[in-house]
Amino acid sequence: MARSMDILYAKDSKGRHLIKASTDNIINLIVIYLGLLLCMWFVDTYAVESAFHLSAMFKVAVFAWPLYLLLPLSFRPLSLSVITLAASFFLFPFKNALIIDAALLGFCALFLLPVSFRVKLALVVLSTIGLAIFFSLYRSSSRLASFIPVVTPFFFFRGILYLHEYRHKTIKERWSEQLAYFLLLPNLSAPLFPIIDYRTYINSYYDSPALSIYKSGFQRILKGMIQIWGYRIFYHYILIDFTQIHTPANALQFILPTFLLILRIIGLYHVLTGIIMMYGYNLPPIFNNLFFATGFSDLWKRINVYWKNFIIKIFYYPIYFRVKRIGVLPGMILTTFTCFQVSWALHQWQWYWLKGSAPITLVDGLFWTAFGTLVAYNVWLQSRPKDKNKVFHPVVLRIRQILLATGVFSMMAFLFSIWTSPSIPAWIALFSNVRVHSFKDVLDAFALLSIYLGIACINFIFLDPSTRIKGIKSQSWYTHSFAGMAFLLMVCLCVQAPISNYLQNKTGYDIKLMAMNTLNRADAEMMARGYYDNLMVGNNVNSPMWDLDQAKPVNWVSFAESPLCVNRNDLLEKAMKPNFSASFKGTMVTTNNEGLRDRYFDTLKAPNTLRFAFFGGSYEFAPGVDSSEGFKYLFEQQLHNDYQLKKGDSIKQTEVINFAIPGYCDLQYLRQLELQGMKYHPDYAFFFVHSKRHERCEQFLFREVQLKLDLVYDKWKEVVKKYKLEEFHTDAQRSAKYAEATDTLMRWTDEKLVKTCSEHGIQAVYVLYPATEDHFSEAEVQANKAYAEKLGFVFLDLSQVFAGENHKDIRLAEWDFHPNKKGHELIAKSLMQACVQSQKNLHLNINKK
Amino acid sequence: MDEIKDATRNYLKEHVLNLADGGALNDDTPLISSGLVDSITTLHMVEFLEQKFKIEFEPHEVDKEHLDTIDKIGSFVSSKITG
Repeated sequence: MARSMDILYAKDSKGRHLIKASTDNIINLIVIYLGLLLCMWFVDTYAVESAFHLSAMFKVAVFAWPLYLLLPLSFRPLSLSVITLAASFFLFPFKNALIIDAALLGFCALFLLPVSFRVKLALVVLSTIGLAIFFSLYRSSSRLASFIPVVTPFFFFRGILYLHEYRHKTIKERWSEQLAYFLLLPNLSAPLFPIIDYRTYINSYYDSPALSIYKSGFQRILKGMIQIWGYRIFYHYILIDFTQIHTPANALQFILPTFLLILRIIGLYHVLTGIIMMYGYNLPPIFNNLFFATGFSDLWKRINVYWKNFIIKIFYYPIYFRVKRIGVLPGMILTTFTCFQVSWALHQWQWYWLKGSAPITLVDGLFWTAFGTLVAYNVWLQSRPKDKNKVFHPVVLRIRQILLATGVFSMMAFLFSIWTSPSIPAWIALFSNVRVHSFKDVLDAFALLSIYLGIACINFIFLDPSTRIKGIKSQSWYTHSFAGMAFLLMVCLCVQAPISNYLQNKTGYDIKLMAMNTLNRADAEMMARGYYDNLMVGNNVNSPMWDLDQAKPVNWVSFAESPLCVNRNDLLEKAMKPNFSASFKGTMVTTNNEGLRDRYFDTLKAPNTLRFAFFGGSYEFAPGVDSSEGFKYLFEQQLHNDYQLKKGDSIKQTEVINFAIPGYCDLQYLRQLELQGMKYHPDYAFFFVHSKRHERCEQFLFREVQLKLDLVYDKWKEVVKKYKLEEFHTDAQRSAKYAEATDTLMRWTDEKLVKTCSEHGIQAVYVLYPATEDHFSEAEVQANKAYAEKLGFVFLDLSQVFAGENHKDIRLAEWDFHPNKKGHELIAKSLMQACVQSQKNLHLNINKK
Repeated sequence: MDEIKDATRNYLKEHVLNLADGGALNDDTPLISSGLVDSITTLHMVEFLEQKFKIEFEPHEVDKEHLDTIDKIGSFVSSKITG
C-alpha cells in the first residue's frame, strides 16, 4: 500500500508531476469523481451518442480511472491500450469485439514495424489500397467489411501524423507509448474523432501537475456535456420547420441556428479529449470561442485547432515551400486556398471509410471554396502593412469586434445552411416563400440578430480575457465545476417523468424530447418529404440523422436498393420479385408467385374460409424480423389456435394474405386492391394507417406528378389540373397547394376504396396505429374514427399499442425505427383485441377457444 | 546567437506584435504554443530569418519544437548557420 501511495503521489524520474498527498488533493479527486459519475448519468439520461455506445465507453473510462491512477507511471500508456481493447467487449458482441481488437492490433503492428520509412509507407499504402478494394466490393455482403468503419477511424489521420514523425526520425518513444497513441479509448465510440497530433500527445503526458490535468480534463468533459445539452435545445426548440419560412425573421430563425448546431461536435470533442486528459495527457484546447471570431482566418484558427494544426503541418507548409518562389504573399494566398480544397478531399476520404462512398457534390464544393476564399482574403488583409499610428479607443475597439463577430457568424450560418442542404436549388427553394408583409417583419429579423449582438457584447465586455473590462476575473475551478455540476443535475432531473410531465403541463413543451437522440420536428418533416433523399448525410454531422445513418451497418440498405425490389412505371412504383429469396435488413425474405412476402395462396378461396387481406407499407411488411415473427403471421396464428370465428352460424377457417410492400402509402392501396387484391376474393380488407399519413401521401403525389406518370383515375387528373400541381417543382413551393390537393385526393380515394370493396362483398377496415416514435392524441384518434366511419370503414383503434413501452425496446435498431419482434407481438395482440371488440361491426362472432 | 535573438526580437516587435500595452517579450515567452504568433506570422518570420541569415528552412522545421521561443529560434538558426 505504502509503495502504491508513493507511486501515486511522488514525482517520477523524468520530473513528471504526480499528485502530492494532501487532504486538499484527495478532496479534489473526490469532487472530480463525483462529477464524472454525474456526467455518466447525463450521458445515459440524454442518450448522448447512443448509436455509438458512448455510454458504455464512458462507464469504462470512469470506472477504470481510479485503477489507472494506482499504476506506476511507466505502466500507464500500455494499460491505456489494454483498457481500450478490453472496452470493445463492453461495447460490442463478443465475436465482433474479437475481430475489432484483432484488426486494431494488426494495423498497429503495421505502423509500429521497425522498418525504413519507405518500406513502411509502401506497406501502409498497399494495405490501404487492398482494404479500399475489399470495402468497395464487399461492403454490403461481407460481415468483415462491416467492421471497417469501426477500425479505420483509429488510423486514417493519426496514421498520417505518425508517418510524418517517422519520416523525420523524431520517434524515440517506447512501443507501448506509441501503441497508446493509436489505441485511444474514446475512439471506440466516435468514428469522427479529433485529430490528435503525435508529438503533442506524447509531449503532453503529465507535462503539468497531475491534479491540474485531471481538473482541466474534468472541466472539459463538463463543458462538453453542457454544450451537447445546448445543442439539443437549439435542435429541438429553436430551429424551425422549413414550411414555416414566410418572413425574413423566419429565414433568420432557420439559418442562424444552423451554425449553432455545430455545438454537437464541439461538445462531443470536448468530452472525448477530456477523457484522454483524465488519463494524464494534457491536451491543448481544441476550440476557442469560435462563435466570436472576428475574421475568417481568426475563425479558421478557432473552429477546430487540431484539424487546423494537422493541415498546416502536413499540407500547408510543404505546399507553401514549393510555391513561395512566386512571392511570399501570393504563395500564402495560393497555399491557403489549396489547403481548403485539401480539407474537402480529406473529408471525402473520411466519408469513404465510414460510408463506403463519397459522392462529390456542388454544395460541398461551394462550401469549401467559399470558406477558402474568405480565409485567403483575410490572409491578404492580415499581411498588409499596418498603420502603427492607428489606435482604436477601447470602446470603439469593442464595438468593432462585436460587429465583425456578427458578420462572421452570419456568413458562416449562411454557408452552413447551404452545406447541409441536398442541393443549391433545394436551398433556394426553402426561401422562395419569404415575403416582407409588413415593417414588423423587418423589425423581427433585426430583433433576432440583436440577440446574437447582445451575447457578443457580453462575451467581449465580460468574458473574453483579451477584451473584457479590466478588473473582471475568471471564476475559480471550484465555482465553475460546482456551477456546471449543479446545472447537469438540474437538467437530468428535469427530464425525469414527474418533473417533465409537470413542466409540459405548465409550458406546453415536451421536455422529454430533448433527452432523446432523435430527429426534431423539422428534420422528421423534411425526411418524410424526401428532402434528405439525395443528401450525403456525412455533411450533416450536426443532426442525429448522421448518428442514425452512421451507426447503420453498411449492408442495411433501403428496399429500393435491395435485390428484392423491381421498379414499375405506374402508380405502384415498386414491387417485389416473385418467387425470390434475398437477405434484407438481416433476415431472409422469400416471396410467393404474386411477389408478396407470404406463402402461396390460390386465387380461388377454399369453401368455408374467411380471407383477410392486409394492405400496408413497411410496418406490415415487417423488415428485419423473420416472417414468422411479423404481426401478420402472429395474428393468423391467434385466429387459428386461440379463437373460433363464426360468420352467421357457420364456423370459418381463416387465411390472412399480406399485400404489404415497403414504401407504399395510403394512396396506393386502391390501385393495389384493383390489380392484386381483388383476384384473391378477400372477405376483409384491412388498410393500415399510421402517423404522417398525409405527408407520405403528399410526397407520393409530388413524385407521381414530377414523373408525369399516368394517374389512372379521372378524379386524380382533375385535381392535379385544378391545383396546377405540375407547376410546382420544389418542396417549399408545393407545401400549401399540395397539402390541399392531397387532402382532396385522399378523401376521394378512401371513398372509392370503400365503394369498390362494397361492390365486391369485401368489408373495408381502417386500422389506425402509430409509428414507434410517435403517438396519437385523443383528438387525432377521434378525428380518424369519425372520418373512417363516415366513409363506411370499420374502424379499429390500435393507437395505444405502444403505450408505456420504451422506444428502444420495440424498435429494430437505433437507426431503424420499424418494430422488432416485441413490437410485432404487441401489434398482433392489439389487433386481435380490437377485432374482438369490434366483432359486431365486422359482422363476426369471435370466441376464445 | 545573441545577434540572431536580437534580430528576431526586433523583428517581432517591429512587424508582428502589438506590445503597446506593455506585454513583455522575453527569450522564453512562448510564441506559437501561446497563440501569440500564428501560422501566417510564423511564415513571415521564417522568410525574414532565411533572408537575414542566408539559410533555408525545411517545411517540417517550421514548428514549435524549433520556433516556439526566441531562445529556441536562436539555437536552431545558429545550428543551421554552422551546418
